[in-house]
Amino acid sequence: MQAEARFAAGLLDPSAPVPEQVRDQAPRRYAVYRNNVTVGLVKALEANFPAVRRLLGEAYFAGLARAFAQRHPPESPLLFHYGAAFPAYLAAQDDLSGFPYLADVARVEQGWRRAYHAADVQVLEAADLALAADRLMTLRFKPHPATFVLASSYAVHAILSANRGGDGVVADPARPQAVLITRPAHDVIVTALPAEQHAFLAALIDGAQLAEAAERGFAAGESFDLAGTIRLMVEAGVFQSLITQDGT
Amino acid sequence: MSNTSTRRVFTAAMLATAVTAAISASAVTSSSPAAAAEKEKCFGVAMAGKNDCAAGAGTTCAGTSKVDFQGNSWKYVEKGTCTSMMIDGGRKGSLEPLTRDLPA
Repeated sequence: MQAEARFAAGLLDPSAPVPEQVRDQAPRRYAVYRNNVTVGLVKALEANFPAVRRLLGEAYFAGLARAFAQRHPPESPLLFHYGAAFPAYLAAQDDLSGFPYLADVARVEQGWRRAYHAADVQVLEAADLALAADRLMTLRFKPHPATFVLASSYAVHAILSANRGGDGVVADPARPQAVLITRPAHDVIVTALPAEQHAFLAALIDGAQLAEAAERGFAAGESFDLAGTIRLMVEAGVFQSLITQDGT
Repeated sequence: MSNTSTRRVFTAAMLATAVTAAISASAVTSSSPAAAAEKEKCFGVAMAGKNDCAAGAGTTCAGTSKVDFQGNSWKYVEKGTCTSMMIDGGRKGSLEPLTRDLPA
C-alpha cells in the first residue's frame, strides 16, 4: 500500500490504528486531523441538504451524516458536490420509513445545488422558436446545464419550500408533485409542475420531438395547457438551444 | 368512447397555434431571461450574512459578511441601481470592492 493510501485509510474510521509512518508527536495530531475530516464532511452535508436537516432535526441529521461520511469519502475536492449518494443512502435507512419523501427532497436539494453551480449558458429565446416555425413538429431541444426535473409520489415542492425558509408546515405531503429547477440567469428557480407539464417537459429533455412531447402531455391529462407550458419553458430557461437536423 | 376517438393527433397547424400564443404572451410579460440577466454585483450594500453566493459547502463567499454594508462583500442588484441606491448613513454601493465597513 502506498504511504498516502495508508494515511488516508484510517481517516474516516475513529477505531482504526494510527498509520505506522506517523511518529513522535504526530499520533495525537493525526487524531485531531481525523476528527476534522469527518466534521468537515458533516458540515458539508448540513450546508448541502438544509431541508433534509430541518425535517430530521439537527442532532439526528448530524449522526446520520457522520455515518454516511464514514462510508462515503468525497469523490471530488469540490465540497459543494459532496453527497451525491446521500439520497440513496436516506432511502435505504429502515429507521426513516416514517419519512418516505425524504430521499426525493434530498434529490431536489441536489438538483438545486447543481443548478446553482452549472455553467452560465445562454437560454433558448422565443425568437429561436419563431425562426423554426416551418419545422415545429420535429423540433428537438438541448437542455440547459442547470435544468433538473423530478416527479415524486410526494409533495416535494411544498415540502422543500416549507423547510427552506418557510414555516415547515405541509398540509398534505402524501400527494404526487413534480418539480422543475432552472437557472436562466443568476437565480435558481424552483417551479411546481402539474403532471401534464412534467410529462411534456421530461419528454423534451429526454430528446423527444415537440409533437411527440405534446402527445405525452395530453396523454397525462386532457387539461394540458400546451401554449402555457411552452411559455413557461422559454421563460424558465429549461433549454439552451434547438438541436438542428444534423444533430448538433 | 373508443381509443381512436380519445387519441389526439397533432397537426403542424395546432402546434403552430400553440407556439405562436406562447411566444406572443411571453413577449408581453417581459420576464424573459434576457431581462432577468440584467443584474450587477454591488459592493457594500448587503446586510451582515446576506451577501450573495450562499450555495452549499466550500463556497467561501456563502453568506460570510460579518457586518452590515461590508465593503468587500457584494450582492446582486438590478443593473444600474448599485451606485444610486440609498443606504443607511449616506453610504453608497460600488461596482468595485470598498475599504469601508470591514470587519475588525
